[in-house]
Amino acid sequence: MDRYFKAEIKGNYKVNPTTAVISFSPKEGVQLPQPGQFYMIQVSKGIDPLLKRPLSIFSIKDQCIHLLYKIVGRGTECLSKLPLGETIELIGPLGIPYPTPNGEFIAIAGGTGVASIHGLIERFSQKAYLFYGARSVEELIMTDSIKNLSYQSFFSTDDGSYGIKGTVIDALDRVDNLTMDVYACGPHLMLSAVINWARQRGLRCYVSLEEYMACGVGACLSCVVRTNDGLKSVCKDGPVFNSEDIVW
Amino acid sequence: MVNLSVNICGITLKNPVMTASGTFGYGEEYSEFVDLNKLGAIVVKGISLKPKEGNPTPRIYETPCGMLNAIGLQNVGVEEFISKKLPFLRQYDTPVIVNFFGDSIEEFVETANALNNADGVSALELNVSCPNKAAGWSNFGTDEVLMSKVIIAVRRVVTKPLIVKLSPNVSDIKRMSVISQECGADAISLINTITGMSIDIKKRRPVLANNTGGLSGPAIKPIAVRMVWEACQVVRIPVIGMGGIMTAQDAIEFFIVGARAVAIGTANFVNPRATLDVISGLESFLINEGIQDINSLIGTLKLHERTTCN
Ligand SMILES: Cc1cc2nc3c(=O)[nH]c(=O)nc-3n(C[C@H](O)[C@H](O)[C@H](O)COP(=O)(O)OP(=O)(O)OC[C@H]3O[C@@H](n4cnc5c(N)ncnc54)[C@H](O)[C@@H]3O)c2cc1C
Ligand SMILES: Cc1cc2nc3c(=O)[nH]c(=O)nc-3n(C[C@H](O)[C@H](O)[C@H](O)COP(=O)(O)O)c2cc1C
Ligand code: FES
Repeated sequence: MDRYFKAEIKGNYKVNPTTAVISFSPKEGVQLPQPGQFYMIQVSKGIDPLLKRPLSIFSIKDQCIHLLYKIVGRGTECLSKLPLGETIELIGPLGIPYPTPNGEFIAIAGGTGVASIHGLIERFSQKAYLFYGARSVEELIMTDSIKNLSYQSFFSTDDGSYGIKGTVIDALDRVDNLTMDVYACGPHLMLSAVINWARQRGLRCYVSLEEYMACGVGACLSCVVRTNDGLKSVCKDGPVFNSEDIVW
Repeated sequence: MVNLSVNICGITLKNPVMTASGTFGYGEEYSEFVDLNKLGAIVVKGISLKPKEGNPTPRIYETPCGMLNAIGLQNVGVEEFISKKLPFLRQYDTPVIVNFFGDSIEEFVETANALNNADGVSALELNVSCPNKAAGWSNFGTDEVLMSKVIIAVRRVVTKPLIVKLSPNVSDIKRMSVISQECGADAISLINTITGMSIDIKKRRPVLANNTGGLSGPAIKPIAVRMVWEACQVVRIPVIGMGGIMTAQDAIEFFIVGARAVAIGTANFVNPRATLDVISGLESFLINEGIQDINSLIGTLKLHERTTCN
């Protein structure tokens, strides 16, 4: 069960101009990940960039683990250039996974938060009322796969170029009888809105948070979030939290 | 078999490789990756009298070949450290060195006293890289007078070995090294992080919520080697070297300039087994070089004859 291991890159393909999926097969004996967990992944062979980057479980399929990432800076840029067959180091799976849903659930993804939510709806296929929002259609990814995995799916874009014009909250407000547990991953502002939405309806809500990370194992204390029980590490005590526990 | 064992102020270390404070949690966080029994010593996250929350996030930011951190010395406080964290570490046959700090001399002394009496603490590492409340938050580690006062005060209550961890944010590290020795330190360790800053040019704001942070990692290694070399020239007490060590080769530079032991910091984040890799790399180096004992590598630097200023 070694959580620090090397793996060969089996795939590293762009799904749109700024987003890619990297795949590797875990070695024997390596712990299999649960949706909501993440890996710290090496992005370069040298010492610059130095730190590993946290990426969520996007999919576990065909004996491979797939991570979806948006190219936003130097680290993810380097990652996108790594060739097939290259061996990279990973630490993981890390963190607390999403709790297993009791039956149907509401899944909400914003932007690259779709990576982690995709991992969840893949595992609990046909159980999700999925809400997925992005700025515009160019940023929505894997819409077909997401439609197939969800029981029902609702898309929204800020500019109305796909699905409902507006935010995921606008989409949520259009659907009746949403009384299930909520699972959400996305930007801070979206999560705040989702938490409020769920609170108004008395729904249990789990959110997956992001913070800058260095170690991924709770040692450096860089990734803290305030909770009712004091400061917690997003990498070790999260990234999934019950929304009522966090203090933003 | 080569000998890797060294002695630091009366403590025998199995090997000269320790963890750097703040980069290895309280040991437990990395125990899944590293057999803690294999380490020379475990240096834990800096402890203060009362629990401390630290700074807002973002607390870290990656920079070329290194990182800035402004954790703000978040820690569980000395009481919880002794009752909740130390029992775990006592299971291991590895010396535990406790890094500690305070925002007043009284706090330093009280914390030192508690740690001095705690079972399972082998030595104390006094972290002077923190601000002093009474002196308008000027830094203990960069002010000679403040630093002397705190070392002398702590020395009075500490019977265990006392290591003073020096700040590199000074113009003359030799002077700070000598002062530490004269005020009663049994050893010195260096370097702590170098104060730095990164700017988000779109927002025109510092990237870190604390505005500035401490630079660590390979970027600082040449500075660390130079400072450790300077310190080794002027003190008789052992010097523990750190700053940017990623590999055994990096560590060997520190031994050659005179460090008796080394600490691994940022490298743990990149490679959770960095400490063990450095230990095995050291062993191979000694074997390949035909050196029987690490102690005969320490301080063997052969300087060039200097002809000009650098
Ligand atoms: C638990 C967790 C899971 C994540 N899962 C995914 C995922 O599945 N797919 C994905 O595309 N992204 C994910 N992220 C975000 C991803 O880690 C960052 O986008 C990535 O580290 C950026 O690296 P960079 O060097 O390319 O960018 P940089 O040049 O370092 O920074 C560009 C921007 O990326 C963001 N960022 C940088 N470092 C981090 C970090 N360590 N954590 C969070 N944000 C950061 C900041 O907003 C920054 O301004 C996750 C983050 C966390 C904490
Ligand atoms: C995240 C982080 C936290 C740190 N916390 C402490 C601390 O609590 N006390 C201390 O004396 N040094 C602390 N340091 C400094 C390190 O112990 C070490 O001196 C420095 O990082 C240089 O070594 P490195 O380049 O190998 O990391 C910290 C460093 C980092 C990166
Ligand atoms: S990333 Fe180090 S504590 Fe979370």
